[in-house]
Amino acid sequence: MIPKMSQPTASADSVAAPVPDDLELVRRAKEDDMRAYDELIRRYQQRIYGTVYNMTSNHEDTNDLVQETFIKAHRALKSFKGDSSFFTWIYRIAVNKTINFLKQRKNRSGGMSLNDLDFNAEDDPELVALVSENTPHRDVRLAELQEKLNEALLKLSEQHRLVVTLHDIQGMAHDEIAKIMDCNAGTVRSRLFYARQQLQAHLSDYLK
Amino acid sequence: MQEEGQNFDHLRRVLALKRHESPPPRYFNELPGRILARLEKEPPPTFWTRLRHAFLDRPLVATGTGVAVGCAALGGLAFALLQDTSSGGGVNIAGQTSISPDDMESHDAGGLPTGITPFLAPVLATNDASAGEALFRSFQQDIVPVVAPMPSR
Repeated sequence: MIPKMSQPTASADSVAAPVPDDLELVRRAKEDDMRAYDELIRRYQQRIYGTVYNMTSNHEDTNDLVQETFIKAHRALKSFKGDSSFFTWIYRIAVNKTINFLKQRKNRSGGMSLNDLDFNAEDDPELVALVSENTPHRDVRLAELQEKLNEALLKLSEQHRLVVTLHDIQGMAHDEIAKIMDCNAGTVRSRLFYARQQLQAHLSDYLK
Repeated sequence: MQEEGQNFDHLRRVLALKRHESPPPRYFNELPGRILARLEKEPPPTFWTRLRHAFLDRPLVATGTGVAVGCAALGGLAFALLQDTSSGGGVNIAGQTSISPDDMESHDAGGLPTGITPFLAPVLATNDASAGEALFRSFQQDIVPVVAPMPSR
């Protein structure tokens, strides 16, 4: 087989195998191909983790919920018909699990367990400007802002927190969010508007 | 509900902070392995587990099955009661008793009272006859004063 690359040193062995799409991986995972399911996990684990973590503000709970999401998804693979994308399907599982967990957690005392900010945060010019200029105390550290932000998010209802997470933090489009939340895009927009108003009120000291 | 009058730029910049919150290093390298290890440790689902999941995945099927089972149970009960009233014995569920003290006293060859409605007989038959008889006699003591005709004075 002649490789398509033009470099003369390229050999047939170095031709990259085509990357299987999600449906192909799901088909193989349904036949108990665990390597296919491993690939699916690797494709979506960060985004699923991000959504769940921003909903719970607790790393330990997030760790459990993410694992249970993928385990439940594996059990339910046979029922996945391909009507939606695998991404939307597994997101729905994660969101439903998280919301059910949060409703139960309301009856127990569940605190925050925040992840550390990565090294990029202090170099983010927008964040640096925000903290140093727009706060009443110029020496407010990012960690304090992080805590206040998470507290404000936890004051929102689960549905409002979810739209802020998916749109403002994870950058999803309204239509995509509507499919995950099983509502229409107008509902997503109105929830987002209300959530932003609430957050702005809770964080007014930091947004001047 | 228009966003034009509201400026959420500052809020969006603050929310960007959340993108920098990361789990411990190598967390995502190890997570798939942990998930697959849990999947491999899971025992294969039993018949009842699969049935339960099938019902949970298909609520319409679960509802239909429940309705069918309920109708079958009600139908069986109605049929048993109809049979009982048409044979002239037993207690009419409308409250009009047709049991006479004589019926309460008679017993079949197995020691079971013949006045007992047919659907109760198999229950009693599975027990020791003496236990069934003792149960019936205690029932008789409780019920006869209510259902027996008032003695004339």
